[in-house]
Amino acid sequence: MTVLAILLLLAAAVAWWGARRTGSAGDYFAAGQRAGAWLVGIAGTAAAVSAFTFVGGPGLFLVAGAGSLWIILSAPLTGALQCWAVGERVCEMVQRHRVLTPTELIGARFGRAAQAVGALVVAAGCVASGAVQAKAAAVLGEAFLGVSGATAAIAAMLATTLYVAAGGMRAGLLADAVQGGVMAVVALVLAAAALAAAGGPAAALATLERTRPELLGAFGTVPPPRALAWYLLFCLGTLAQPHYIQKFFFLRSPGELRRLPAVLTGALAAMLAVWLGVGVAGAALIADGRLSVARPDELTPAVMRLLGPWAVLLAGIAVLAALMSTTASFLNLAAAALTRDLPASLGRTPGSVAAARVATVAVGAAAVLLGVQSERTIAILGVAGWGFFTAALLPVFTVGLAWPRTTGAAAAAAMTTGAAVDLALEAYRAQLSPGLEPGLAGAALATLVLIAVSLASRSPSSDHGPLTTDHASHALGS
Amino acid sequence: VDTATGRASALIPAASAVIAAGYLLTALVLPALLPVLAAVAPVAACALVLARRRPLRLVAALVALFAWLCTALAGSLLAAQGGTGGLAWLAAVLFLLPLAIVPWLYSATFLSNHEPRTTNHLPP
Repeated sequence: MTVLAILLLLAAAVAWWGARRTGSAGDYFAAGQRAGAWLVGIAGTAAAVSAFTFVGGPGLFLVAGAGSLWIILSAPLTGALQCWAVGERVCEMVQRHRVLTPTELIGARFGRAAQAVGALVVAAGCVASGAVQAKAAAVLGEAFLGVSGATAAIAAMLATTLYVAAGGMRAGLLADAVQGGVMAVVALVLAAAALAAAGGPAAALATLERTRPELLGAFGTVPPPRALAWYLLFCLGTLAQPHYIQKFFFLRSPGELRRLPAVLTGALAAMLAVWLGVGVAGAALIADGRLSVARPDELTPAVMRLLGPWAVLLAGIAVLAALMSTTASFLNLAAAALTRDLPASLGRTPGSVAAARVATVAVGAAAVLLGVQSERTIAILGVAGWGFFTAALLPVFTVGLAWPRTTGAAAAAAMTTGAAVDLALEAYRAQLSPGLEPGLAGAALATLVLIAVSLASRSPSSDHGPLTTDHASHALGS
Repeated sequence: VDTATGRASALIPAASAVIAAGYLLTALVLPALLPVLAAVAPVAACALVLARRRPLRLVAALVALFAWLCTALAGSLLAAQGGTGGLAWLAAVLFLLPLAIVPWLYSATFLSNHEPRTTNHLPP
């Protein structure tokens, strides 16, 4: 309870700091567009790395072994991939059209109908993804902090909602960067400590080689098609996550992109150490009979308890940082979608910053309600949330932005198709063939729809239209 | 519309459609071909940048990426059986090796960012 109380006090301080510096929509939704590569890279990685990495990842290693790593193996590639495929184009459009959010960019390029669909997709996906973080907070509370899951979920989400509602992404970016630094250091320390407790990396691997060799093959216990589908989903999916794309809006100039992949990749690699370190060590400790867990998600808490109270506290802080930094972006994006993009797509004046603050609180409350009621494991919830955005937004942000012929109708149809296919297939995930990931299947079908409708439509020059003066002035916060 | 944009107009939808249909086909019918798609699709996504700028060293960087990914994925398939070798291959070749190289490749090719770009399709 002391940790949660301190957390709320810190959140109040950040909220106060952010509220004093947030005077316009540009400050609230795009952190004033004054950040450099280091700040955006570390904060962006913190937003990207959720509690899924700290709790779900090691748990998944316990059952899937090296096969679970295919979710994170694309990490060295994704920083450059994001900048090459999407970042450069987004930065150019942000400079040219003064848009503040990914959905606003969709509106600028593809018109109002696409902006409306995009806003609905982002709002729904952000609430669902926020629920994953609330679920993780519940696990955190029960496992690390000794409080009820609901109490922990409410406290963590309340703290995040507080500073995001008050200070928008001015406060969110600062908090994310601090949290990212904490997460990177703690992840490395915990991974090293866990491996040391298992007798060192060589001893841990030798134990697994002797007792559970199936975990150590290149695909672990995961069928290779499924592992490769995970690789593709989490590699290409980085191009479609709105909280990833949002970071390009914070940069002060496109020149900052040059160093961004290095910062993103370095920070991400440090944070992912916990997945491999705690996963290998935990599996070895269980094989040795020194540890036992009832569910995969209990592995990280169990390893931390074995290490001692200091590790429990550090892990609790890291998981809190992870889930709060990710939640901050989702809350802000959902608020923007509900109060700016949806009204703008209907031809109305976008809502004020005050309206966005109210929407932030509402989205936070909805995420807590959804998250604490879910029975699915954090790993599966995380994959599902990522897949939804991949299915709906990947074709639009890659093919759509790069191909001049793409029309607004095609973009709207593609987003609708991707989201619908992903949701439909998620309901039957257990019956799908191993290589068929709902998110990838949705994105594939949506890509085909995007191309077919664009080719069948009239010229895009009269379809997407330029950003209107109204858009630009609202984007500037005037 | 300049020549580069014209080429992109034809190549982007064609390549995207092949990859999208290819994924559905391999996932449902020919899962043995998924490694090919796993090597092609990420590099094809990186190659979207070629619609904006096309210096030779950027093309060379993407070719190098593709060669590395093919090697890494082929090695993974060979190391699929249980044993520390599989995990070591993943950690060394697919994760640690490109950790510094890929961001460096981006930075090195970013220098040519000021070369003439293709026209943007958005009105000013």
